[in-house]
Amino acid sequence: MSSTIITDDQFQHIAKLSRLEIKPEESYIKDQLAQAAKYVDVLKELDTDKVSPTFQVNHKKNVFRDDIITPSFTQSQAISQAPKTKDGYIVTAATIKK
Amino acid sequence: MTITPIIGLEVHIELKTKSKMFCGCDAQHFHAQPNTHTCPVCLGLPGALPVPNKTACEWTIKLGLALGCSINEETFFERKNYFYPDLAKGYQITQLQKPFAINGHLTIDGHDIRINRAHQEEDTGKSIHVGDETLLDFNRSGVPLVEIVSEPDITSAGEAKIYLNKIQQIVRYLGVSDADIEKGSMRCEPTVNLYVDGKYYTPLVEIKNVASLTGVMNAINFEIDRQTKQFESDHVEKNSTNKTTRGWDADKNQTFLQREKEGSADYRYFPEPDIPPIVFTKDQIETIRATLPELPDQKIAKYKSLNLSDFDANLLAEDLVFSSIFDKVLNGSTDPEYAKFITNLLIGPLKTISLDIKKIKPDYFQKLFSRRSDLSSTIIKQLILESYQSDTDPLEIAKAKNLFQVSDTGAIEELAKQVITDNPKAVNDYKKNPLSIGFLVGQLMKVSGGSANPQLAKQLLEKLLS
Repeated sequence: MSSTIITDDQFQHIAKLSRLEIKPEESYIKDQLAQAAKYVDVLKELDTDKVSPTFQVNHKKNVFRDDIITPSFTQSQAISQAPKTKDGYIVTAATIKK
Repeated sequence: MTITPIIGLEVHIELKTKSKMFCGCDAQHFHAQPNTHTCPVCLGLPGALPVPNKTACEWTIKLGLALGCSINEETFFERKNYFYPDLAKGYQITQLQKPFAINGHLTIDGHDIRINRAHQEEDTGKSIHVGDETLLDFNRSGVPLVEIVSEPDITSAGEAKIYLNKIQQIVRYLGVSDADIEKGSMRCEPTVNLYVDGKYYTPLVEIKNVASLTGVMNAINFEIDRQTKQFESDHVEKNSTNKTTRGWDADKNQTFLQREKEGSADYRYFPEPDIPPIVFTKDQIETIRATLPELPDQKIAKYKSLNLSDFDANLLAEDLVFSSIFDKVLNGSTDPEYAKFITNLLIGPLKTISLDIKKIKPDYFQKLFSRRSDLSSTIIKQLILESYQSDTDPLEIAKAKNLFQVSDTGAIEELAKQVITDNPKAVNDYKKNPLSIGFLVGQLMKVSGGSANPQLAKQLLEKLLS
């Protein structure tokens, strides 16, 4: 179906948003992605004329918490999964070029 | 070229709730040890469930009401997806389609600045850039924020400053945030472009990293200047893809190109599936409205109706505590003379000390006002200060210290005669130059211990020396 064809530009853009580096020999991924997207078209076979749009399935509303402080992780727990830490901070590659 | 700057402001206000927006971690992050106020929710760990802080939602509605907004009775949160190290989840929980508050306005010198929306969201972690590394602290991650988005109705850096001051003042009146720009609890991102010769629009520029009010003004003025020169040389007009983000370098006093702005669609907003929608009924919204204090603009209008000057009215309305003290002392009076009298005391001698509204006694002011013709203005200032500090009736103090001006002609005349006898040189001077009477009046005031009525003293001296 024409609606699921992905252009080269769209493909590059999606790869960029996903932080993926796609090598030229991996360009077949584009067709795989198009196939996967096409699968969503199956949903179009359903008659939804009488169903109102929703993004919520449990019909709950107003689930709040009161403004009360509860215990946090300790510093060492908080940073324990980070590959690199320093003085209680999590270290990452520089995000700003100086 | 005729240039009209078009400026819109996004203002972020960090709410001073005790806990964070979607978890119970302590929201107070200023000067806290790094990564000590975190949990699975604000670290974005898999499976963690965010639950909105009710107080934060109510405060956002309250702020929206104070900004003249309509409140959406039904709202929901959405995910804004983007990739950045200080956003551990890979998305920010915010509002797009249904913000709490929409369509408000602030009036600046009769010019309406429309407010598009005030929505609720969460803050990100903090990045500290050191050499070729970035250090991350997630204490701020998940702290409740309100983003107030203006329409591009602001036309100068000066107007932007007044707008920001006003928002800051309102937020502080409501007590929902310290709104301290230097500490980061109020942040501002101006978007600037130009309308040239009534025909062309220059590309939009969003300015980031402005950390002071002066910085906001300097950054806007720099951009106006830069875009003017840029347009003169390349004539590039605004389109849907050439919006850029520029950082503000306060040291160099210039903006620099930061990164290409991801187009709006790239954020792939979608409703937050983990948080059910939020409904506030009309009654609940009205209950929140009822908690609004009298706001700065209302106070200023009230003070001006008492014939106070613009300057005095603004000064009195500057902060809620000070204006509440004034209102307490005014005690419903509509007498402009009394209003001016207490204004002079409050912005004069009493401004020099910190006042506790509970200790303010309106009747001390009223008593002084009723005897103002028998007390010099200097004495009145001393008395109000002393009566506040010692919690004593100012008229009692005046009586005990013998400070009432003596308007008894006989008594003053006796003193005047004595002064004339004691100061032959000054009397001689006066006979040559009548303008030198001041010295003799001063001497008379001195011997009377400041209690003589100065006008009467002058008249009597002139009479005796004629």
